Amino acid sequence: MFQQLFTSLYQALLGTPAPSSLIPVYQKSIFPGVGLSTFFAVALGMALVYYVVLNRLMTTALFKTSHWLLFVLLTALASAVLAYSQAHSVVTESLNSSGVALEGIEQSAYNRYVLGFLCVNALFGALFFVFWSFVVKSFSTSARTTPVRWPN
Amino acid sequence: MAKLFLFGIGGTGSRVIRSLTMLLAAGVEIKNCDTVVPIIIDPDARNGDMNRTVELLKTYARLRKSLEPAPAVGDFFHTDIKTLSAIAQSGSGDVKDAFVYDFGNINESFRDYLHYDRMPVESRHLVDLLFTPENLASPLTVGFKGSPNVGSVVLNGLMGSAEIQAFANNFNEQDGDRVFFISSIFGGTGAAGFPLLLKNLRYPDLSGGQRLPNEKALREAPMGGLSVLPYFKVNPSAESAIDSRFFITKTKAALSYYETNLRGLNSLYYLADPVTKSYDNQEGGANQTNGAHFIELVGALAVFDFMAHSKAELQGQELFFEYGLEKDDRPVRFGSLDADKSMQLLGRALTRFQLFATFLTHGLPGTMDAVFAKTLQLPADWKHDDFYRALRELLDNPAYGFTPWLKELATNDRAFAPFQLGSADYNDLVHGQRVETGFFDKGIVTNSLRKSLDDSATKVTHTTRPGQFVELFSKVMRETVDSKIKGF
Repeated sequence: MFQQLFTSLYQALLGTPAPSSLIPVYQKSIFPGVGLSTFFAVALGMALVYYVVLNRLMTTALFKTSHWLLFVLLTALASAVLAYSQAHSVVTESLNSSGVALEGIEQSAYNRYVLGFLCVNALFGALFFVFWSFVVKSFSTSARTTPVRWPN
Repeated sequence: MAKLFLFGIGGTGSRVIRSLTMLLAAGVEIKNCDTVVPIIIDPDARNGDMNRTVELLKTYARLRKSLEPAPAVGDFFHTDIKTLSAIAQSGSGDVKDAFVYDFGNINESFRDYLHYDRMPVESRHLVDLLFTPENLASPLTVGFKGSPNVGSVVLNGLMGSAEIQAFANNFNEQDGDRVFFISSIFGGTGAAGFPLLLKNLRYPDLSGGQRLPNEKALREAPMGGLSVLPYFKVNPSAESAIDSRFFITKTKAALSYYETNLRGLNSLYYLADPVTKSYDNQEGGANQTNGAHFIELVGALAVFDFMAHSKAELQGQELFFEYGLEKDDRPVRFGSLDADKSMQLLGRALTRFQLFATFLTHGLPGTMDAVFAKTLQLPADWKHDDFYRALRELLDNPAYGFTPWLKELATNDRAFAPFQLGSADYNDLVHGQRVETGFFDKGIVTNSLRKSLDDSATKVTHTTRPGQFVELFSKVMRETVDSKIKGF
């Protein structure tokens, strides 16, 4: 289910993975792996850090919308880094195991796709963080109304 | 609904009521009473001290109107303050909605007031015997200029007034209503007005004047009084009729009169302090604005003490009280007060209110988008809502606000200076009671207060937004002071 979901999401914005030899690697491993990690580990993790750790367990002054926006950016950045490192390591491992190397046009297609992938994942990371914000913020003390009071 | 009818007579009466209002704002509980009804009696309609007290009372009453149902006992603004006409159920048609007795602009001399020129010659001789030519020529627009013999004549006219009739009409002994008089003994208005009012309210049938409704209830009602002895002097001035060298003589004369003629009081409080402070010599008018004094604050405590006594305790023999400081300090700090009574009564409450005022000044602007502020809709309401405007006036108005009042107390002599004023450091709020801090504990900081406010914001139960604001801040300030500021 997750494999289908994330593959559809990424491909809707990025198109079919390139070079075509890497399509199975992306669809079976990279998209679901990165998608799930971004959704749960990065976005949920950052939301928990922001709402529960910083604005409940600790006494900080990071309750403002500007601070929340900063966390959106950090989540996007972390998601981009995650996308790049995951894609790079999975593709490298796949190529090594098959004994094939990317050259010329294939290499530049790969580079362009990975760049697009990390950008799209940054966007997804930010969106997932916004989603988790509305789920988690009721557990917060000082950021219960950040970024908006609704639905509390 | 037990009421306390509080007669503030003359300048000292107004100033003590000012201090009392600050303590009520801070949430000091006045026992056996839901509503205070101040009635200021001062013929000097432009008197600076009186007018700023009246402005303070009006602001408090306006603010308090937004807080129905009443805040809980111990919360800020718990006790209501109302005008005579606001509490009146009957017989108040001619009473203005004001805290001041309406003398109707007396703008004539005492001589004209008496119709001296139309008197028979024998009466004129008697008047000449009792009053000096200066007394007779004195315009009544600025009061009695320290002359009780003038005051006793003019104030006798009070009894037929709509205000006194309305007071008597609305006095309900069954509800637990009481009467308290505040006056000085060394001036004109207070020294004359206090015994006169007491006699006429307690025994209207014997005074030969106007009869009152509810005479029986008034005869049996608990009545107390505060008589303030000299606690300041005025600079010598050839143009002024007031000379503080005579304060002691006048006090002795008044005391000797009280000794034999002051009857019908259940409790009498005497208050004095060695005189060290000289004020500008103002006979009255707008320029008479003496800075708040510690004695006036202690005077306000007399009202709390009187109200704390049960009716049974007050109905034995007449009780007399004086006040003693635990330590004869200058300036007076909280540690100078007796730990069991005065400190308990006002130490924590004033500290809570000062912490509240400090936070609103220094902390609130940076926390307008915090949870508590959004929950209370402060970003929208703080600047324009009537309640918050009245609150800001009550706290900061340069003429009558809480913060200027504390500054006046701290710079007078004897000074009452328990707080480090003007500082945004909450940990250093109370002199000699610094909050302990450590590596992991920063004590009281804006963030910790904000977090406590955020935490409690959803637990408030009051139905109106101003009520929620008062409930929330009272709770958080109480918890913070109790847990962080040691020494109370």
